[in-house]
Amino acid sequence: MIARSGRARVPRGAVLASALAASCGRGDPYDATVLAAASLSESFTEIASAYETAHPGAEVTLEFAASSTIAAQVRAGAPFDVLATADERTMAEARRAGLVDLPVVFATNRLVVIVPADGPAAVRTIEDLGRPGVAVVLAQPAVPAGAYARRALAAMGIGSAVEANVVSNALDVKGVAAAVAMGEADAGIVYASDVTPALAARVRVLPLPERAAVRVVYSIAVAADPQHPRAARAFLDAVRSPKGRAILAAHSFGVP
Amino acid sequence: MRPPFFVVALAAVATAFFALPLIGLVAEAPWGSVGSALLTRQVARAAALSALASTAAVGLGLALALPLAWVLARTRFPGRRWLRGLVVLPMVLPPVVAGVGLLTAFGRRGLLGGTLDAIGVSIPFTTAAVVIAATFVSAPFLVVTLEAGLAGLDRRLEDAAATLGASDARVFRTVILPGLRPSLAAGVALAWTRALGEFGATITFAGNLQGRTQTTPLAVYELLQTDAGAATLLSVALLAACLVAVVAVRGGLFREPE
Repeated sequence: MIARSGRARVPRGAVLASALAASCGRGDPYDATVLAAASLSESFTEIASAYETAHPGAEVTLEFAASSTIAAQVRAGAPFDVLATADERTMAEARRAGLVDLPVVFATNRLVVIVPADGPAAVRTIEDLGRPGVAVVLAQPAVPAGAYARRALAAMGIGSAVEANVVSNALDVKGVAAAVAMGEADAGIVYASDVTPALAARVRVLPLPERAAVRVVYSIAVAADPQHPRAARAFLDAVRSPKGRAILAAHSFGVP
Repeated sequence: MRPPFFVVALAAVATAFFALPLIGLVAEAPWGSVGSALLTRQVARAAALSALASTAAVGLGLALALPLAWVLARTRFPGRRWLRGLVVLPMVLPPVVAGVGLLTAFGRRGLLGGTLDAIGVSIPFTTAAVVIAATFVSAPFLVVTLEAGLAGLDRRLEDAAATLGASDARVFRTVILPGLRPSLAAGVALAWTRALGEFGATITFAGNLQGRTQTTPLAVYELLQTDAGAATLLSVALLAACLVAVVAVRGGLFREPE
């Protein structure tokens, strides 16, 4: 449940020098500020590294939070170059508000159930999620991961039973992963891409059955009024490049 | 020395710095929709939980802080400064770290998790966890103010009362407690408002569930994503509650007997 917002700077050679340059408003034309869904934390950090290698001297400022949280920040006027959300709805709202250019779909994901790897297994099958006494953590309904999870559970006919077992609506999907990894919850629903090697060591993964499959689609768009137009376009290209697609695929995303 | 003009000018800048965000909240709030935004089940439950949890946290905090402050103010022992540092640490600790710490102590897999489980108690994600998190971050304010209050008391009065035959309990009730009242009031107001605003430790240790663990700050955060106007209005309400608590200390409610 550790909050994942806050800007994480990707460390690079002359960090201080470029930070000074950036603060003086004379940053590199390829400096990019990227707001992305929490589930993109690992993959976008890698893509940003590759981007910085391709554009020496440029620095990518990444911020990860629930898609609805970063969308709210954008609505409140936060400066950014690129926005990437874990659904099409949040992006469509930003588009309608005139905050971003035409978005494109760049990745897909799927949901999985995770349970603590050690300790008594309260959940062995997906149906167990609805058994009385099981402590379930989902992302809050306003964030894409929470909405997708509820859609999947409803499709299985156990929506209300599981909702009664929800002990916490995490602020974003990473909060769900943390609660299960620490063994404080008996189960949670996250994206396949959230099961990093570190998390995989602490949880067991139960795939959702075919009838519960929901289409998880990631959209990316350049800001309508980017700070660094060239950087915005270049970062979007980096995400959709063969290298970017390979990184996403390595993190269990589908790349259309 | 009266402050020179430039100091007064800097004080005016400081006032603007503190006041502008508050003025911004009030100015930005969509007052037209105040009824529909705040008279919801979610807000009512969050407000009730916040009032309950902050008050309970102050009560629990007093029970913890008074003995601690007394020992710190009136005894000398090696490591006293370290003890004081330890108990005020939660004041400066990032709240989310406090939350992780609480999980590692009282969580299901925490240090006391096995013991608690044996007696059928599970704390995380409960209202009790909300109160514990709020107590952990707010009680240090009581320790600090009460210790300062105790250290500032004139011990000759206590000695005189004892010489005149008053029992320890009577000295405490009739001499120490009245003398402590101003620091007690300040400590209670600070602790209550700190508990009311608690976010990081709560979301980490207690989670976020309407009616059970969703306090008003968590409701503000959730509303920010769906209804920014309602979030602003609820923030103003929270601000008003804190203002009343702080002013009450200065004003009549807790006034020192003349």
